[in-house]
Amino acid sequence: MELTLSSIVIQALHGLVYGMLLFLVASGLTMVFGMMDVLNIAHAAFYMLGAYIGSTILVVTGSFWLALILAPIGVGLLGALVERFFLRKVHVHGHAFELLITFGVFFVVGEVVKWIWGNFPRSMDPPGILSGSLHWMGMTYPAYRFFILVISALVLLGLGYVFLRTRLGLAVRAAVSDASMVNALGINVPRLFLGVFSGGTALAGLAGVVAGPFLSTYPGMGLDMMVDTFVVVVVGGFGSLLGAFVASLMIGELQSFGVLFIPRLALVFQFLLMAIVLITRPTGLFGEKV
Amino acid sequence: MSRSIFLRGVLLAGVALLLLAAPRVLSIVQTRMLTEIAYFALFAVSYNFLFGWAGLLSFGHAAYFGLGAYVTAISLKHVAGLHLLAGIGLGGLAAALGGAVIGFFCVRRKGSYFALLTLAFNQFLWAIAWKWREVTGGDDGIGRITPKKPVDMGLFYLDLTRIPNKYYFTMAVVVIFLAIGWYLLRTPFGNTIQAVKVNEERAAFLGYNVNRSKLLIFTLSAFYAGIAGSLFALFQGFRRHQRHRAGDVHRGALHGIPRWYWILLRPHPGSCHLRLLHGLDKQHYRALGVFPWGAFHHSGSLLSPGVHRLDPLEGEGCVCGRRMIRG
Repeated sequence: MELTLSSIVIQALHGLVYGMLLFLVASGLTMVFGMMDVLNIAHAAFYMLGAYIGSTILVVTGSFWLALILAPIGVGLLGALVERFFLRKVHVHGHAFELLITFGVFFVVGEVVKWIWGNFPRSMDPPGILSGSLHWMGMTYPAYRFFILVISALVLLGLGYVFLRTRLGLAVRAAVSDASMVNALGINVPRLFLGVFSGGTALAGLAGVVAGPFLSTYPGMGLDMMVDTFVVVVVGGFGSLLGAFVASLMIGELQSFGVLFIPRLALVFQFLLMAIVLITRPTGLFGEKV
Repeated sequence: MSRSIFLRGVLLAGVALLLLAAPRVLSIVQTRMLTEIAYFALFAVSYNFLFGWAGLLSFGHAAYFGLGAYVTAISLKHVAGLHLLAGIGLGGLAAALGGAVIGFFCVRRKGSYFALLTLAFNQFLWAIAWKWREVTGGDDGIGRITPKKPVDMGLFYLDLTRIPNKYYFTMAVVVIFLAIGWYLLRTPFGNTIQAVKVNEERAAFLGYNVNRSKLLIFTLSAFYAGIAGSLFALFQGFRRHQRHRAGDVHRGALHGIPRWYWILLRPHPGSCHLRLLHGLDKQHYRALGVFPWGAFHHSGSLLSPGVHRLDPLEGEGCVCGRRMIRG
């Protein structure tokens, strides 16, 4: 592949799109970790579930936009159930069990998805309006990828507004830094946990629907995404939204350009980066807590 | 006391007899399955060292299984005249070395950080196994390495192309390592490990070097996983990088959990259960309809500790560790 300015721009855009998708998934994960100190391994399973539910809604109703709204709601409700009836009960048994139970949920969801939808990839078509390409200054770019960029940016702005400008966001940020103190101040922290967990899984579900036409829907998509989001959360710093954003873009670009320049070392480098961050600076780039 | 020892002896002898007689009674397919159960059970035991005995929840244990398997496969393939046992030993040692280096960094972190760091190294090794085609064969794995000619075992020659011989050989290796592990966990070292698990701070306060104990059990566990991987490589015929993937480590996690058996033998029923279900899944898939057996056993094994408020970590093994700490 010859290297021209436009091909570099296209490659950077690819990285940006994947990075923004990663951010959609990682933001929920990092919030849950910041508040509850639980690494929710099942998070990527909800992402996969979102994609499958979305594809079914698309087939049944024929409307991508309906899938985009309904699937995250369904996944978010399921996330709320998992928090209320599994995670909260295991909390007293200690940290290892919280990890294990989310691990269990990850596999159960994965198997159930295979049971319902079958062990093969499903293709999802983007809606007609987004299926073409955009042309600008002699470059061509798929409209759907651009749509991913727009919707992720909207979510980012929405999250930023909620966290920085509303009372709810204030309570959540306070709970991230010290949950028991916030509880003592009269805010219902368990309900806040439930809300954040459910909201985080809904975001993962949204990312799944959005990713469906882009990466295709297959039973291993949860596992592939899981590992990438862990890298993002570790590098960005546990509990830091800004960190997750920066790290998502970093990993997205690393993968995009890595495939171009160092196809054999891109993956290795990504995990090495994760290990080095954990060894030397476990708080990540922007995290505060250890 | 003496009566329970007698009963245990009788039970053990009975199990030994059953295992010895198994290839005569069972079909070739079943014998092969039993062989598979044996080395996966050894893998489960290695995970049990780490999680069950030391309380370290690792997400990167498949790395050592893969390391052992690859080193054994590569050394047997490229070093002419290398003895089979030396190949297995090399696999185990390579895994132990990897475990010692990786563990050195990992044991300094706790909880999620520990789990994620082990995962990072696991994925790192997996990426190497996948991409380094010249050595590992990449996606294709490494071709058959089971010795075609009978192997000189000193006293006799062993023809490993025959399934029952494979079974006896695997069983012998597994039983020897089980016995060594059983002994090791009853030494002061084993007690220290449990003390560290029950209360790390107090163990450190009593003068035990917590990080060194963790590193030791980490290395030992990696060694066992490596041996299991070597056996897998020998009899599965080829090595594939998929074994390295994060998802596969759940086998270890699954096997380690059932608590209602003897301390070291505990993971075995889990291993049998899982292997049989996998077998069922393939063979009787149509007959059984579309019931999600996978989801069923995952939920059974992984969700039950939480839902039923059982604590699989609170096995008998903990008692003496706790006694040590209380003085």
